[in-house]
Amino acid sequence: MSRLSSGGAIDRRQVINFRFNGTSYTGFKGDTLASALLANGVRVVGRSFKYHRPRGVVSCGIEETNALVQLRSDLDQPNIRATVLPLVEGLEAESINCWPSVNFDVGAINGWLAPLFPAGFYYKTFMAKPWDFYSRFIRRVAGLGQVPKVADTNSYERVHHHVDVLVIGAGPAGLSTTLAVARTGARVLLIDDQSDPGGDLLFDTAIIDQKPALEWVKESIETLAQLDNVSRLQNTIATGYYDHNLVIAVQTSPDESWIRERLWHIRAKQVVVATGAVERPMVFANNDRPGVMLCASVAGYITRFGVQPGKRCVLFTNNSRAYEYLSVLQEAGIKVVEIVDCRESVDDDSLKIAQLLNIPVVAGSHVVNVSGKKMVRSVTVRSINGDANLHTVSCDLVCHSGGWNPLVHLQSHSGAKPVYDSENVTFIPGKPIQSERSVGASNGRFLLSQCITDGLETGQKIGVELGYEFPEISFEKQTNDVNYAVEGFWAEDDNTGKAFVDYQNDVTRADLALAMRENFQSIEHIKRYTTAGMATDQGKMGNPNVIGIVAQMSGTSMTATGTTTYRPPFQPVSFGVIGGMERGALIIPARTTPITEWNISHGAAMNEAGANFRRPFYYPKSGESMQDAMNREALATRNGCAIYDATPLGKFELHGEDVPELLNRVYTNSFSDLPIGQGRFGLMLREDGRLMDDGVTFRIDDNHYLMSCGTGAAPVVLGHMERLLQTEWQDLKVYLINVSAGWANVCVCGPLAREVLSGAGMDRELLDSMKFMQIKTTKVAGFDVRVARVSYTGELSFEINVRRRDGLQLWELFMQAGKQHDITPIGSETSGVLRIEKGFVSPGIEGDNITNPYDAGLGWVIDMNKPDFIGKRSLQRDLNIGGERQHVVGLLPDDHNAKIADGSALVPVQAPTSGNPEFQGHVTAACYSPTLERTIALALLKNGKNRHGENIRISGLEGSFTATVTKPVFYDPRGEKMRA
Amino acid sequence: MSYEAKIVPIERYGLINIRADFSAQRVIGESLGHELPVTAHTAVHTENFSVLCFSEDQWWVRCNLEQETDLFNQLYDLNKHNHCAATIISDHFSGFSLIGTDARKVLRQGVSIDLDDYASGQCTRSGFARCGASIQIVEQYFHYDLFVESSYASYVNLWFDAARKGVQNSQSG
Repeated sequence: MSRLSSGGAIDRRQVINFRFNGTSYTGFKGDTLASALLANGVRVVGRSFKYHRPRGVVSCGIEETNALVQLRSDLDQPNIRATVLPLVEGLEAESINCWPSVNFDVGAINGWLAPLFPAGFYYKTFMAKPWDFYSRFIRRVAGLGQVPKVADTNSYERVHHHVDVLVIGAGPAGLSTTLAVARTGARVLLIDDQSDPGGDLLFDTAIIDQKPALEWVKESIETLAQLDNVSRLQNTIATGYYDHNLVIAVQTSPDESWIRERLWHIRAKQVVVATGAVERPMVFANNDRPGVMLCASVAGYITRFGVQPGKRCVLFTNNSRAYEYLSVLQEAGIKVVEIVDCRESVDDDSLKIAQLLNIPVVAGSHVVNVSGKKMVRSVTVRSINGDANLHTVSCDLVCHSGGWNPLVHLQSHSGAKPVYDSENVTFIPGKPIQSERSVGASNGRFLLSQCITDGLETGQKIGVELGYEFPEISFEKQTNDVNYAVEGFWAEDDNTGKAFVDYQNDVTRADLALAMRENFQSIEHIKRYTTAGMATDQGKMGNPNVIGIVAQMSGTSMTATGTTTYRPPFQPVSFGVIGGMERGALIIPARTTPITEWNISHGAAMNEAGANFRRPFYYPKSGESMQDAMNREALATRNGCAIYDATPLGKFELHGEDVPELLNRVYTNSFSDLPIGQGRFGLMLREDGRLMDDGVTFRIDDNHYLMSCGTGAAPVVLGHMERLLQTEWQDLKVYLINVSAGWANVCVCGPLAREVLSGAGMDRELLDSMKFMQIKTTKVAGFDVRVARVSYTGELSFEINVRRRDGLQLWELFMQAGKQHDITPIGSETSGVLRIEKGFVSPGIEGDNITNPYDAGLGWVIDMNKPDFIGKRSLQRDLNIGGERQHVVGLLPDDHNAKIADGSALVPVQAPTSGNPEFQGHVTAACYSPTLERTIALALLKNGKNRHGENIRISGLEGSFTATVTKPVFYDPRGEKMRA
Repeated sequence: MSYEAKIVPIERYGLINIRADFSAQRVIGESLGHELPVTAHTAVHTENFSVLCFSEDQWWVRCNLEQETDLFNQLYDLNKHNHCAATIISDHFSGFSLIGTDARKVLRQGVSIDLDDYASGQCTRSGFARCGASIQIVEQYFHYDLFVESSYASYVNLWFDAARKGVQNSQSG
């Protein structure tokens, strides 16, 4: 066991049982999985991504790249960082990337085969056949963790929040900022990823004003708690920073016990990034062996968790701040046997600390190799400028510190570019793009006193900028800072072993060298070729090393080399919280009509109908196939009486004296002379002259019109007209009101429609007198209704519109009245058959973004004499250009029972059945017509208008058929039925 | 376990949409016996009805269902000589009252606007869940009336249920 007998912020009275890789262990409340594993002496926690090398815990925070585990307890979830996973009773986790076990992993053979897997090896293998063969093996071993095998049954929530100021990070800088801003009265939200506020101070022995820093933290939190304008969230990590100062954050374990995680959409007038910095590893051979850990993290495990990660330690560093931790290590019983400092000249303060603790300092040297496989045995040290000082030191722990990387990721998400800070040998936030400021260590202010001052000053400025009162704040804080004094040291070329620059992706210094030899020069290209900085850690620890080494190898500066782009999420986010409660029935809202439940209860097969509506597809009777049901429904419509729910159609009221002018501009034909009580078919085009939608507009009153349009097109048509009225034609006196959901629309159609409606109580005289395209207001069984004579089936047809609340009653009334006429509900698939028989062009089907109205045979709806309408210029252009265009035609296959797939190609009859015959068009819609007792189809065919009577071959998924090209109207070409 | 908030369908209400240009506003006010509010998001409340202003040329008159037809009839004919339009929309929308100490916590799951910007009695439009909503803030933080297109009513019912209690995979399929 490596648990110290005292110390740490853990509760030793609360023992927690957990399992890791099938073995039972215990830890304490306050532990993370990583600290508990270290306390139990577990050194190997996982295997690396590519070479399957044994890996141990390297850090104690979100930057961890090695200790990724798969949760196996109440939730199966991969790639959880053990360093930030709170230990809870019954937790069960497993190592990833290993088989059969973490201690004996067959995949480790990759280490021996490493020459076969250089940087970019998969790009190279993609070029060689048979990719299909070996992709199976590569896919099997690639990736991190395993996709969960069981459904996640937890609840997740998404909320929206607005504040004046969002402060991200409750470390010294974030807390200082919040304290200052809060006093101005601005609404502030402080979020922090850890369970307790304090940031790095939780892992530190820092002093503020002669008191432990955590006491200052406690006092600050107490102050903030008394302010109504301040909210605070712990266990909440900002994962992305988007346009308009939108920050996405994930909160784990919120107060509401039924919610596992909550996704916050936070919009702030000002965002303060106080996410701190993470320690950078040094690059040397075998720097990934279990027991090689970041210096501050080792101190953190001692201070916060009372864990001793090793007994005999070598410190390897390039900066003075690392010396700050020596006393912590020594007091925890860790013998620091040597400090290897790559700086030629170490400052006096640091030397004094080492001297005081009796630790020898080897300056101007570096660790060149580590021996030991599953744990560190010793390190080899050598002078930087030659083999002088070459010696080996026995140890079980290597603390290394290559300086500090400000976490510039969120600022980078916001669009800003990091800039190089040569004094601190790192990248710091560049010029903000949005209303954002970075403070403290994330802004390159690494000393505690700097963090606090930076936070207070920034907070005060923000408050004043937002127009709040100027607060009185003291900037004087006494701290026990140690000088940072970092010098750049990227890596020495050495062939003694793999020197990793990116632990997570197993990228080595040699990989970077290879990429450069292969002429990759841009850092972005090198990233993609080697995968350095990719994946879940987004280069938090390793990226500056990659950039430094590339700059060193290419002989350019860090500034010229630049950084890659850090992308969201800052930390992996569960799919559960992204989806939130939008699962099952809530993924897509299913819009309903008053008749939806009736349809479902009467066995209708429901199908998507556009704009989130689901409509009956067809109504199968017991034992009936889809085709049988459609045949029955179509024949009932042609010979008797049918009913369907047309409620989802778009319905818009238009009011104002300029409505005719609007209609003249948006439709291709004229509406100037439309009398009251009459409707007219209209064709709406886009600016490019292609079909947008069609529909009928009725004139209800002098300045009052009612427009109907297709279900799926309704939102588009409404938006189109609103945009025109609000931006282009503000002079038109027209108001547009969406009443689509306010009216139920029941369509009764077929030769016996009048009998059914009069049987339901409608005035027979009115029914007989109504002409095609007329609209009347009347009453049926006490309901006020609007009756319109329009037809989508080609039969006598009445659409009865009634207030939504009365829709179901009206439907049932017609069903009852139609019983004696065998009234038949029909679905949209049957409607499709009826429209194909009639040759009614559908803008969404025959209109394929190429077809214009002339191509579709709708030239009769176009009035080119009108001064203008949307699409006119493009239509004129089509006419002027001429040439061969595709036209809507009908097809009559020789095989009357041919099954033809929509989309089938049309090719010359003599074309060979294989190869690449000349494509002449395609089938847009095909069906079996029970009325004609044969298969029919509509199609778009090159020059089709002039090819009626020709033979063509239909070639598609269902087979190859010869067919005769005809006019596109197969049934009642004179329209006598629907005008009856 | 759930939030302290209940969802109650609003039954039997009358709702009339009014669009009017500046000159027609006065005529409509006279017809209603009360001036129309002219600032977006504000409302006036009389004994018989409330008028909610959504923009400088759009209002809702919220009244009892029994009054709806009479009010509509007196407003409809004004369009003969004025640029205005009255439309009954009580069927186009379904209303829900969200009431309780956690009402805001439930609503903020679906509404992206800053609810703190609206005081009791005010109104606004907003995206809501996967449909839109018009919202009347009856009592800030505690009572909100939402109106969504009626075709979304079933979805909104499901949504509120999930937002109050959480949704689990096994329940939602």
